[in-house]
Amino acid sequence: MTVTSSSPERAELARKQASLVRALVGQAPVPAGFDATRVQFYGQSLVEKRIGGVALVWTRLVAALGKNYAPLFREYAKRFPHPRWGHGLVDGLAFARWLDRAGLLPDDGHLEKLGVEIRSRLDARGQLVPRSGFAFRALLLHKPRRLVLAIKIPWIGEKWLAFSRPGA
Amino acid sequence: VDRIPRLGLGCAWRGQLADALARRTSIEFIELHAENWFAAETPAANDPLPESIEQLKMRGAIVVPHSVTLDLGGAAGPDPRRLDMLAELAERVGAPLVSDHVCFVRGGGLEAGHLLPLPRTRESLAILVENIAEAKDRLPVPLAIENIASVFQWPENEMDEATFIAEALERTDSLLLLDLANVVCNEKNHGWDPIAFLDKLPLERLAYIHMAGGFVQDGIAIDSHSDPVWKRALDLLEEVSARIEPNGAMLERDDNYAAFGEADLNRELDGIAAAMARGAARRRAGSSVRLEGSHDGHVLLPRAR
Repeated sequence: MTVTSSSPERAELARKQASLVRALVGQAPVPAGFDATRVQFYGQSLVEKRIGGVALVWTRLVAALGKNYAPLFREYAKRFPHPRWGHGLVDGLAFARWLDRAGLLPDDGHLEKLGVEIRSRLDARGQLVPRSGFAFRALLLHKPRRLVLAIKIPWIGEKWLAFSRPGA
Repeated sequence: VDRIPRLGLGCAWRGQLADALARRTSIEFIELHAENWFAAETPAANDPLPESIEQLKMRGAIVVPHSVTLDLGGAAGPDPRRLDMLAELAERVGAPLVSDHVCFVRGGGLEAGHLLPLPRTRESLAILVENIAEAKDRLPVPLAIENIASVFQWPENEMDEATFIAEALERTDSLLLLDLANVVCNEKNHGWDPIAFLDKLPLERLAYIHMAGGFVQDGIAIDSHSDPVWKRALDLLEEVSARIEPNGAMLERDDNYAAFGEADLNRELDGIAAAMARGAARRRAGSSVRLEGSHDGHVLLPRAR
């Protein structure tokens, strides 16, 4: 069988499905004929589902953010829809990067993000794929003040080093 | 209809439940959330399977990959890359079948992040049927399709959901994954009659059953898999088991693990087994169906007169 044809029926369905998804993620009004309250309710529950999915994987980040986690994630979700590929791990990485840019990423979040980034990278499609080669990251943390180095060497593994200023 | 082995009593495998599942000897099959084992989600996708899964497999448990992102009802058609990853996973775990939902999950370049209801029109059904046929062509094992829970409906619906699913099953010669928690949610959210829903489905195509619990918020039932299995879903499982012998039934638990210890998991699985046993007893007694409804000859046992 050939790969899915493009028929007028498919084009029409694509248009309808796109407007519904846009409404669910808050980028467009609810299309006519739908129960708007229900669609908005469901849109909110989709964000709550992302909050739960990220929390299952990004345990250190979420613990460090505490009660601020859910409100911060809802802010992030307004501008960042669900990732094209993957779910909790990839969504959480984008969330951690957003927090980092805003200066809101706690030290434990930095460390968890570093672990994900040294082992994997996002490819051009937005898929998280394992890093095959050598990787090196340095991170300056504040509480307590220390320098963390992470090195990944093919076939050998990962080495993490932390340096704190004596007496600090 | 595709032949698949008996699945028996099962559970969705999750890291949080791994040890308890490995200790329970009566687990006959587990379902893997397929995307968790796709390279696209986790760089560890190609690592060896966790010890708990290997142990279950060694004891003879069957592994079924369950996907949520094929987009079987999507206008664009299922993504061949996702199909190939699902096919690879099925071969890797020796699965006798795979499953996904009667729904769509993306549109306009955006992922919804969950399952969305389809408009139940003739046109949309034709596209669903084409998509499922395309998916089946690329998969090495039979495909089961599942009914979803929904919170809202499309205004242009021309038929009820059971008719829509039954027709997709027949036209694509697929298997049914019946989610009874979703039937319960849809009863609460839309007032659909669960017995009429069961009456319209070709139960001889039933591959296995999903059981779960959720919560009600603002009068809307949410299929969150976060709470004990709905009592109503257990009653429906008994009802299905009074009509036919289900090939398999399993628990899905995805949240609120802090309140879900090993004893809770075992109680939930025992509850599922007990509901099937009650239905089987009714079936053997020959007084199977106590509820009204019409059938089209697929029922294996006589109805009560």
